[in-house]
Amino acid sequence: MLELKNVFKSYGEGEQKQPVLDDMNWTFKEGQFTALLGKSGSGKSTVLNLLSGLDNPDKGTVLFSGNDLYNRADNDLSRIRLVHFGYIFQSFNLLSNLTAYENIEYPLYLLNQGQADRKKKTLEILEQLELSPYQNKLPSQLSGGQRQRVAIGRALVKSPKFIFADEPTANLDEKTGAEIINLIKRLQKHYGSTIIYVTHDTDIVNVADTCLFLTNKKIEPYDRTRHSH
Amino acid sequence: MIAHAIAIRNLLKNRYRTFISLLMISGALIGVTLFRGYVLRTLEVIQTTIVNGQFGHLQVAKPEYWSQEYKNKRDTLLTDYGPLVEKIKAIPSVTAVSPRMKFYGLLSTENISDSAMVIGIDPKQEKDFAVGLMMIAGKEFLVGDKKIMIGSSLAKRLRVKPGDDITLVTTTLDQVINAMDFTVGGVFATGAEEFDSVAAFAHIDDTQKVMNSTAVDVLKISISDMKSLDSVKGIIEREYGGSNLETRTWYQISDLFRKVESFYNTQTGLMFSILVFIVLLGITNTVSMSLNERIGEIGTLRALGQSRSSLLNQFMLESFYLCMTALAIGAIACFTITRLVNAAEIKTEIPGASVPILVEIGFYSDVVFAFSVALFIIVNFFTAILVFRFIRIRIVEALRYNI
Repeated sequence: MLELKNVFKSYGEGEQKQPVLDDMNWTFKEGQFTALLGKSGSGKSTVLNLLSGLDNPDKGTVLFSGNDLYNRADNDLSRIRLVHFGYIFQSFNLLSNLTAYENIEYPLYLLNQGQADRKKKTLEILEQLELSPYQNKLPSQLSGGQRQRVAIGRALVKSPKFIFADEPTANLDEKTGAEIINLIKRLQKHYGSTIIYVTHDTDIVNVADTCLFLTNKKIEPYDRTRHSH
Repeated sequence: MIAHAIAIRNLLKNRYRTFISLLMISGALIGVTLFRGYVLRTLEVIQTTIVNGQFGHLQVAKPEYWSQEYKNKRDTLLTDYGPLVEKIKAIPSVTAVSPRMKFYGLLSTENISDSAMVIGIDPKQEKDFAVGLMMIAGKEFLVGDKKIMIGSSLAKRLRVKPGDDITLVTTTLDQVINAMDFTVGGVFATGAEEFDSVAAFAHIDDTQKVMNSTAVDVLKISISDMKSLDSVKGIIEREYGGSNLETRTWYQISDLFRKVESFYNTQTGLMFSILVFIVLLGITNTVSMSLNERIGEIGTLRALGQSRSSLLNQFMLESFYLCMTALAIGAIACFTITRLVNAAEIKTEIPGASVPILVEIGFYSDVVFAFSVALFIIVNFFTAILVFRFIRIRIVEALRYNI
């Protein structure tokens, strides 16, 4: 379970300091597809970074399985990210020198899994993502949608508890974006992971189990009538 | 394997930058190793000349001979040296023990006279004597039967050639003036102008006659293997030395060699420091550029859960491959250049040398290895410092950069 408790976060220093999150509290349930909506600059990505162990809060705690996520050594936090968290970035963030296969295999390599095990899992993911014919291609040789599918594969291959997706369809056309959303949803059901999906696209409400809205530096349940404008 | 693949592919990705880095590291290795190879080869040549032509491997004499603190020249001489020669000859590794007598006198032709340092040697005992000497005139090194060998610069001043007559005038141990006629047997050069401008070799029997003495200055000892030098010295000192004898190695005797060696060592150190400085400037620049371009990648890998230490290892693997490739290229290039230079037989004049010196560069695998290790450590240490700085960038900041 992931929980935000009295979390404060601001950017800048001195007089330039801009609070983004103010005494935020929320508990994210496991096994759900949670969409976090909000206007541009509302702090959606900040929440995602705090929840995913990428950036610590100024005040307050982020609890992971009941323990403070940030009150630990950097190596331990890296280990949590490696084992329990997966990321899908807006710009795909694939390693340009590695093939689609190698990009997906990489987290398993970091987890010190054996070669045979890595191969089995990677090929399985490639097949589910319909990327088998492209497994030896470099990211530069793939389309945007294919790249994002590789990124999804990289996040899912280690079967993490949580997958954090930061506007993964923002760089894709509408049709491909819709395909990616459906793919994430399908795989989430298959793997049983918890997805926290940040977007400003309200169409996500049709797919997500839970929809939240970030406004006035706080999280509240999404209300179509109040938040759609 | 993925880590190795990433390392190699990253190096191949920016080929120009990798090429420059390879060039800098291998260039530094080539520069310093060739220079050191030249220095060591030159020192070897000087050592051979000194050992064979001047001092032998070891010399045994009275302490007064070495300190030069005596009232009478007789105090420095070894009189009953025959039994000592036999004892030293019995030591394993000793190949020859030959008595020598050195004194100063005047060499005169019909028209010209010049001072000379005459060294009496026993040619039968000093069979390897001429090794390291260059014959300028005359077919072979010839002393005995009133033959004298004269240093090249001294011969030039006296205007003598093999076959010419020459008279040696000196004072005996009893301070009486004595003279002896010789025929010039040949003209030699050791390469050291300082020596060739004063030295002359004659048979020890002749020098003893002219000095009116049966004594000698020193016993020159030759050994089969330089590695036995200290052990032979130790045996002589322990078993036959006592307080009346002192044994010195060629290295202790040759002040000139020590000065030349010290001078060259300082030059090598200075050259290495300059090259390392240039390499570090270049490597720091290229590594920084590379890391700057890869901040996004660093952020992504950290987000994926790669620890800082693992990331450091990943980058250091690249540095490892770069260094190993550069050093391998450098070592092969050194070997090739050494062969080419030696085959070209380039001669050069150097200050203090009586004849042009053949430029020879030695290829010493231990030198290549030592400098390679030093460069490897230095380059990787500074790379590690730079990488360490970059992997400490906050993940969210690093993720703002494109990958």
